[in-house]
Amino acid sequence: MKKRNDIFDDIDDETVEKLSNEFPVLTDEEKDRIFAMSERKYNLATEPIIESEGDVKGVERYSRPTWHRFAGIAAAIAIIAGGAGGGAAFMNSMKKSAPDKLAASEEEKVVPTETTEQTTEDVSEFAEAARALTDRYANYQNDIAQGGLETDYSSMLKFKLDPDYGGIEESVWYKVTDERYPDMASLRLEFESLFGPVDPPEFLFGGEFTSAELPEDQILPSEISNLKYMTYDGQLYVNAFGYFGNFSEWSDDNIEIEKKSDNEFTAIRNAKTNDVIDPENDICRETRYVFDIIRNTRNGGWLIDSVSEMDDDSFNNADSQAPDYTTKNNVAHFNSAASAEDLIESHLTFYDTWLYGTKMPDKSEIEYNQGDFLTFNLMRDEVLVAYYRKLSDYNSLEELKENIEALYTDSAFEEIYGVDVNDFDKYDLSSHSSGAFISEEEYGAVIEYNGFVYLRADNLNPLFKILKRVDDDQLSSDESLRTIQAYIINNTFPDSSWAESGETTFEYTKDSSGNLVLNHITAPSSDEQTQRVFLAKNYEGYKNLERLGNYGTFKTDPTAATIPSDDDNAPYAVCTEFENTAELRNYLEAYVTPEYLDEHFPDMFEGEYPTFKDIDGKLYGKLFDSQTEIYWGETASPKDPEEDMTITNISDDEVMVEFICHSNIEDTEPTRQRMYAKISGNGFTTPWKVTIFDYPDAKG
Amino acid sequence: MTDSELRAYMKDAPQLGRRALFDEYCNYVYAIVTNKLRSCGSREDIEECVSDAFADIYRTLDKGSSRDEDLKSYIGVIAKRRAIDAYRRLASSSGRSVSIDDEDNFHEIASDTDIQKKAEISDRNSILINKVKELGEPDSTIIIQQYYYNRTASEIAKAISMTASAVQKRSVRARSKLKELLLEAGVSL
Repeated sequence: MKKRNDIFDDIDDETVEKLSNEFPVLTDEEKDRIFAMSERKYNLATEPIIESEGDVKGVERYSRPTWHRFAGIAAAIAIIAGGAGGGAAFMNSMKKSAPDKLAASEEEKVVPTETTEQTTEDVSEFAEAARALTDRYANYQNDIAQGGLETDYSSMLKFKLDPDYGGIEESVWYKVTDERYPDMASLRLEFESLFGPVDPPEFLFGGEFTSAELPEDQILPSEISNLKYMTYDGQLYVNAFGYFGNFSEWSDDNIEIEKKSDNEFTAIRNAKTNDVIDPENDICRETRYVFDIIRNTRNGGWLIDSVSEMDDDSFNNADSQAPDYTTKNNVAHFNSAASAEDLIESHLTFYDTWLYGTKMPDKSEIEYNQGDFLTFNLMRDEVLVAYYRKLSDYNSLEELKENIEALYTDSAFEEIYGVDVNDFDKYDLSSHSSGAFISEEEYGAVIEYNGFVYLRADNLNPLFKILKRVDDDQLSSDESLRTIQAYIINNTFPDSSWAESGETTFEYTKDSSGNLVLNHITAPSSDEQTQRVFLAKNYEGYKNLERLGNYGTFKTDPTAATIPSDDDNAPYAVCTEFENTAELRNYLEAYVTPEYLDEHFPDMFEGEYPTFKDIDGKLYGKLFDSQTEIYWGETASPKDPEEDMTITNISDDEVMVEFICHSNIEDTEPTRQRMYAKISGNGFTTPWKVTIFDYPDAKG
Repeated sequence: MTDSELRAYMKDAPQLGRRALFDEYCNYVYAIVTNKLRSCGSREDIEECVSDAFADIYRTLDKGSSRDEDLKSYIGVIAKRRAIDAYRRLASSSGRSVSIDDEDNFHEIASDTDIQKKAEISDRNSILINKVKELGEPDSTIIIQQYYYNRTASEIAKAISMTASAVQKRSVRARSKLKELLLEAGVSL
C-alpha cells in the first residue's frame, strides 16, 4: 500500500535535481523499459503514418504495452520440468514473455450467434479445417516461433550483450534463406492467416535496423536482443537464441472436435512438448492443445482464436511421468527394533533416507527419475517454487507413519526432523496439477499426491545434524541410555559436506507394545568442527530472532482477523510458528542468553505494545507487512562453513565468530557479521548462547 | 559524457546516442515527473510521461533547435512541460481541481512575495534534504524511495539488499527520527 506522502509535497527544482543526483532510483529493468517506450514513441512520431485514404498524419499511434508481471512463473515451472534440456536458449527465453494464448482484437472477433448442445453433434464439417489449422499451427510453431526456418549459418551477425544479461555474452543472428519467408512481411502474413489481424507475441517480429545505427560487436540493447526476428540492412535475420512456446510435434492424427456454433468450434489434439522429463531415455512431456477456432468473417475461412494447454491431471500426474519405477513393493520396511543396536542402525538409515533420499531402508541406492519430483508455485514476495521429492518406498502416509512410530516417539521425531507426525494427514495436494499455485496452508513438509508420499525438498527449514555412522557405543547401567561415537554432518549451509566425530547420547523408551523407540538424542560439543557446527546453528537461531524481533516477520494465518494496535502502528496478527510467548521465548533462549534478549529486544515481549503477546491463548505478533514473508536466508548469509566462518577462542568458554556473508543479489560485495557466544550447558540444539552480534560493515 | 560529446554521439550513432542521453538524464527526468505526478498518477503514468518527455527531447535535439543551451536545463524544461501536461490530463480525468500554482510553477517569478515564498521553500527543502542525509544509509535511501518515489518496501528491499520487513521497520523508525530532527531545526511536517 502506498504511504500518503506528506514529507515531499513542496519540492523545488533545485531539490529535485539534488535528489536525482544523490538518490537515483531507476533500476536497469525500469530504464530499459522506459527507454524502449521512448524509442517507440520517437520512431512513431518521426515517421508519418498513413491513416486512410491518403491522409498523412504526424500523430502518435502508440498503445501502452502490457506489463508481463508473471512472465517468470511459467519460466520457473519450465526450468524444473525441462531439466537440463533448457540451456542457453531457455535462459534467453526467460527474459521474454512467451504468450501462447493469442486473443483476437475486439473488432475482429467473431461473435457466435447460435450455440448448440454438445452431445452427438455432427462435427465432420469442421474436421478438415481442424486438421489444416492444427497442422499449420505445428509448422508455425516449429518454423517461425521457434526459429526453425532455413538459414545461412555462414551469414551470421554477432553483437555483444550486456554482461548482466543472464550470463550470455553474445547475441547471434542467422540470415534467413527460407524461400517461403523472404522478409518480415511474409512472416507476419503467415501469422495473420492463422490467427487473424491480432498483435503477435511481443518480441516475435522486430523492426528494421542498419549496420550504421547498429554496428556489430557493439552492445545490443535488450529490446533488440529479445527479438526473435529483425531486418538488418534489408535482410531478414533470426535470433539464434530464444524460442516462443514449447510445442514439439503432434503425437498422433486424432483430433477431438466440439462444436460451439456454426461459426465456432474447439479442437483438441495430443502433442509432444520440448520439456524433457526423462533425459536418459529422451522422453518428453506430452500434453493436449486446445484450440478455439472461429470463422474468418472476411473470407469465410477459419482462424485460431486462442490456443492453450489442457489442464488435465492425467498429463501432469507425477506417476505417469515416472517410467518403470515400481520399487514400492520390494522395500524392506522398518520393523519394531529387537535391540538398541537395531534401533540406532534403523535410525541412521531413516535419517539418510529422509534427508538425502539416497538410500532405501534396505541400503540399496535409490535412483530417481524426473517424475519423482513434483513442483508447485507459491506466491510470496516473488514466486517461490515448492519442490517435492517422492518417498517411493511408502505406499501411503499411513505406512510412513507406521515406520516412523516403529522408531521414534512423536516428540523425538519432531525434535530431530522438525516435523510433527500428526500433521501429515493435513496435506493431500492431489487436486492440484503439478506446477499449479498452492496456498501457504497447503505447503506442508510431507504431502500426499495421487496416493504417493512426497517430502518437501527445499532449504527453508535447514535440518541441522545428520548422524551418519556409529563407531563405538556403550550401554548405561540401566540400559535406557547409550553413548556412541557418531559422525556428524552440518547441513545448515547448503553444499557443505564436512564432518566430525562427537559423542552422542541416545535415550530409549518403550512404546505401548513394549517395543524400543528413540525418545531423545543429545549431542554435546567436543572438538573444533563440532563447535563450528553448533555455532552455525546459533547463527541460524540468531537470524530467526532478528527476523521475529527486529522486523516482526513471521508466518501467519491469512484467514484470521488481525487486531488493530492502539499505537497507530502495525496491527497484531496470529503467529503460527509458535504456540505462545513462552514457547517462542524458549526457542530464542536456546540460541541467545536471556540477558541478550532482554537488552537488545526489550519490546519483544514487554512494554505497552510488545512485538509478540498472547491474546486469548494464541500468539499474536505485530505485522509490519502482512503481504510479505521473508526468510533470513533470502538476504546475505554465509555459504561455506569452512570458508565463511572464522572462530576465535576468547576464553575457555567464549568465542568470537566472524561470518562472511554473501548476498544473493548480484553485484553485492560480501559483508561481515560478527557473533560472540558463550558455552552455557549442553543441549541437542546447541550448547552455545549468543552474547553479542554486530555488523562491522553495515552502512549508517 | 559532456553535453557536446552527447550531441556528437547522437549525430554519429543516433540510437546509441539516444541511449547514452537517456542513461545520463533518466533519473533527473524521472525525479521531475515524479515530483509532479506523485499525487495523481500511477507508476505507469510516470513512466509513460518520462518516455514522452524523452521522445520530445530526441525530436527537438534532432532539429538542432537547442544547440547552444545547457542540455540539463533544456531537458528539465521539457520534462516539466510534459509532466504538467500529464498532470492536467490525469487531474481532469480524476475530477481533481487544478490550482493555478500547480500550473504555473515554472513561470517567471512575479513579485516580492513570490520571491520570499520561494526562498522559504528552498530553505525548508535544503534543511529537509540535509536531515534526511543525517539519518545515514540505508535510512536516507529508504525515506527518499518510499516517500518521494512511492516505492514499496519490497522494491526498496531489492534495491538495497535488505528484507522488505526490515525496510518497513527501519522506515517507521527513520520517519520518526526525521520528524525529531526537523523539529529541532524548526521545520514541522
